[in-house]
Amino acid sequence: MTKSQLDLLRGTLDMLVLKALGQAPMHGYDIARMIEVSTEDVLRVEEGSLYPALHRMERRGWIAATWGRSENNRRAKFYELTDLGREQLELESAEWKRYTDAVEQMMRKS
Amino acid sequence: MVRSVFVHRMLRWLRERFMRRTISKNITDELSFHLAQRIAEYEHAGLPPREARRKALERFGSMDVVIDTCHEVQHVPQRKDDLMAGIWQDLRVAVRTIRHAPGFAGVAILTLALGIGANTAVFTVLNSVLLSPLPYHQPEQLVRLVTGWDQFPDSRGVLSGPDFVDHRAGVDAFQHLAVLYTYRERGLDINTGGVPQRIRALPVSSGYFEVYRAVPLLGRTLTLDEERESARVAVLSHHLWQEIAGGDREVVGSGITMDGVSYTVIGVMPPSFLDVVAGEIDVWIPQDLQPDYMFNGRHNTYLTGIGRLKAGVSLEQAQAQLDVISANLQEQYPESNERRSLKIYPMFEEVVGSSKTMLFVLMGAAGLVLLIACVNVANLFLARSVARQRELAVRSALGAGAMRLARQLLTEGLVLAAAGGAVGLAVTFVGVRFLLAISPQSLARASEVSFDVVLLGFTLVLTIVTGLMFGLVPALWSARLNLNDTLRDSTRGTTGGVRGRHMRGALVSSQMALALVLLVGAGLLMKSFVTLLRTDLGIDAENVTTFEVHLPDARYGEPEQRIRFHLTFQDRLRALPGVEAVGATSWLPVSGRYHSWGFRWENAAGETEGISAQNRVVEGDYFEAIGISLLQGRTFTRSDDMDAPAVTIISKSAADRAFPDGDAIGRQVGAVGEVRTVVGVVSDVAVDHRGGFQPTTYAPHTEFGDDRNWALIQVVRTRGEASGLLNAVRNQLAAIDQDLVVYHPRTMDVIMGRQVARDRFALTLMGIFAAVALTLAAIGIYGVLSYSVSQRTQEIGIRMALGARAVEVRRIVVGQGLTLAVLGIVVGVGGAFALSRLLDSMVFGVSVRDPLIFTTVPITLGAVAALAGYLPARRATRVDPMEALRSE
Repeated sequence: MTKSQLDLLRGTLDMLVLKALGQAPMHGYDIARMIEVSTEDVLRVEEGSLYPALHRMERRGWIAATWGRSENNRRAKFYELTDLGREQLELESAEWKRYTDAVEQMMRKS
Repeated sequence: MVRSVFVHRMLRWLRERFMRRTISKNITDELSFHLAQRIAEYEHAGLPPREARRKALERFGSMDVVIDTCHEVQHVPQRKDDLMAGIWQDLRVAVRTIRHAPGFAGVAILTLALGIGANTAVFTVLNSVLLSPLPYHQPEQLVRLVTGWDQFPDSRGVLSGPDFVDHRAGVDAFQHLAVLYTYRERGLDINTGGVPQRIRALPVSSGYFEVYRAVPLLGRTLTLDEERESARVAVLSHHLWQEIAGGDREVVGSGITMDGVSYTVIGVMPPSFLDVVAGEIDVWIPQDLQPDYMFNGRHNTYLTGIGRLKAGVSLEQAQAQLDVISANLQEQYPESNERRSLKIYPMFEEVVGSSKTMLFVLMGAAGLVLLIACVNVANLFLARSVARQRELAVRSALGAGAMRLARQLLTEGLVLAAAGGAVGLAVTFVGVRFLLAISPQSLARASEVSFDVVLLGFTLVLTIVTGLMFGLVPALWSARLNLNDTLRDSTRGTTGGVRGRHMRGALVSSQMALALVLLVGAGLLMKSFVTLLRTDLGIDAENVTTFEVHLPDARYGEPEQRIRFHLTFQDRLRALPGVEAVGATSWLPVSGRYHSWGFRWENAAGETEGISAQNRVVEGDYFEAIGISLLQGRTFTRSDDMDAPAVTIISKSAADRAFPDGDAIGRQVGAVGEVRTVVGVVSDVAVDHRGGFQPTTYAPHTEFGDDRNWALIQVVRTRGEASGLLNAVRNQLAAIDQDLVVYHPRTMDVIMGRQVARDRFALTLMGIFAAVALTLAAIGIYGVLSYSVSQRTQEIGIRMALGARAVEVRRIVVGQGLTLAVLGIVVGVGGAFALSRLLDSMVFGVSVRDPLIFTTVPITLGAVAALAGYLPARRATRVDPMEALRSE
């Protein structure tokens, strides 16, 4: 945490969570860690946003949850991607690509 | 179909309701697992366990907010019709939020309860006494009929028999007109099962019940033909009917013996019938209105008039008709009717009359307390909404819409309101009982007070609306507009916005001002009351017992019989152990005016002058018994009898007025209906408890007992407490006449206490209001300062870290409170000064601008404000500078 961290842009959290779960089922803490590690600690995930987001997506049917045991044998809630969630991930990735390309294009011109 | 949908929804709601606990636990489990992982991570990185834990917690933020938001996410109703779950959710969150702020909740509930409870209680009493119409059908048609004298514009005298009869015959603006006997309820003796008993009888004319639209339960009422003494008929009250006839419906037509004369029962009234003018009555008998009846001279005014206007006829129209008749009578009988005419007033005004000023002042006080309570609630909600800005902003960022937040805040307000209302309801019930218990009997119609739910609702709604207006609006406003600012604003130690601070300051100041006005009012009444209790009324009331013995005309029709009875009875009483003096009078002092008769004398220039004086017929050692001192001449003796020349004793003020040179003794005056020789001058006595003195003339019963059956009030002075006196008196009375009763026994202290009771009542209520106002104002100042201190923890920490001493910090905080208080006090003194004039008619012997009150009250209020400010100030200096800095 030497460099300053960036707050997530609104709306991108869902996509990052779906992306993380696309690799393997995992619990909330691992999702947060995964995002932070993958972005070399540039992006910081607020717990206050993560868990409501997880519960919201669960309710929408994008992800499913099961209670299991963590590696240190504690009761933990594991999330995995559903088919609906996979579709949503593709949709959001495409949107994100279109968005960043457009921004990139504009920025390159100057 | 409809039912199955409803049942289905009900079941789902119940299922969710019971599953909630599990869901809650799951969320907590999930989050605490997360926290444990984070702590482990930090420990792994090499932090000591304590530090790792602190850091993880700090990074996590508010656990409650996350739990709540997760809950909301999971349970936001999916369909709009799933209202029940939504409301339940709001309630649950509201209760939890409130539980997390017990200080705020406690103060809010206390304020609401006091404001609502005290007000509803007083308004309930006022409402029943003052605001509700008379308990009769179409009460606006009811009027009082009085005699007015041109030379006394506001005089409301009683009527003479012929005046009433003549006016009744000449006008058609009324459905009914009637009179009732004015003076002391005339008593009648009945003998039930060998036990003599005195009952309250009221002579009335025909039309009396009809004015009130009262229909008899059995039989009929009085007719025009029965307006004569020889018509021995009676209408029984429901109560008396039950008591003497056991509710037998055959009672109509049967006989009842009263004062040894047989009357025929013609009717029975229903239990609901109540005459607000005359009070409780046992039996109604005819009032003689024939011209040859001995009391129906045109000079003799002794009847109280009532009437009911015809529908659509105004007071003015009816008055105009009466004026025509009055003018005719003035011409026809100038000797008696000169400058005299009949006037009408709404009965409502007559009945409530003297209580009005007091009740309006109390109502004003109640309004002030309500206002203070509202200001307090507004202040609390305002402070709270500012404190919650960040929380609201977070929720808003997480997707809670403005409507959702509004609903949440509304629910919180309503939960508080419900709690406050419930406690307030308890306060109201206790309050109404308390007020009734301490209310004087003189407060008209106090027995009709009933609890008013609408009123409670009104106060409740008013207080809540105030709270919400000040709480909800700024909260939403800030949540929506300052979303980004608030979230980014990491310095939680700001003071919550200059605007909010000024607003709260203004509220506290206005509260102080309102409280000051109330306290000044209460102070003035209190000082006035103390003065009142010290007023010398001209009598010595200690150890004086009074009672009445009424002599039935059937056996005591001759004056000699009555005089002989009194002399015998007096001798027997005087012989009782412990008795110091025995006397009797036609009307006691400090019990209001009674017989106002003329007092005439010849002045130095040989012209006849006259004034109106109080007339009393007395007997025995009356002056000694009641504590009136003889200043000149002698008191009455037994030889002042019917064969002796007529004599009188006059009071000092009468003597000073007529004979300023002090030579009253031996002079011929017109007093107590005859030309009399003055034989004595005595000290003055008050006619009321406020020390209203009136010139008084006395005549001896031994001589003037032939004028009428005076039904004298006995006055007995004892050495020390008169325990057992009444039993001894009853024995003596029975020894003279088995059938006579000791009627209405009271001590003089009780009689005077009843007079003072009204003032005591007003004072007590004002005292309650003042105490409530002071408490609320203190709560207000305390609340604002402790909120301000908690918001400024960081600033105070820095100041103290930089070497500020505790005293200085305290001075800053207390000073902040005092500034607000002084501002309010200055405004309040001005307001109290302006409003104190309203108290003019209520205070006695005190200026409404009494300097003592106007200095002590502001000082008291300032002291309370300083104290209320000191507590938060002390807490502020206990702040550990390191803690304060780290609390960010």
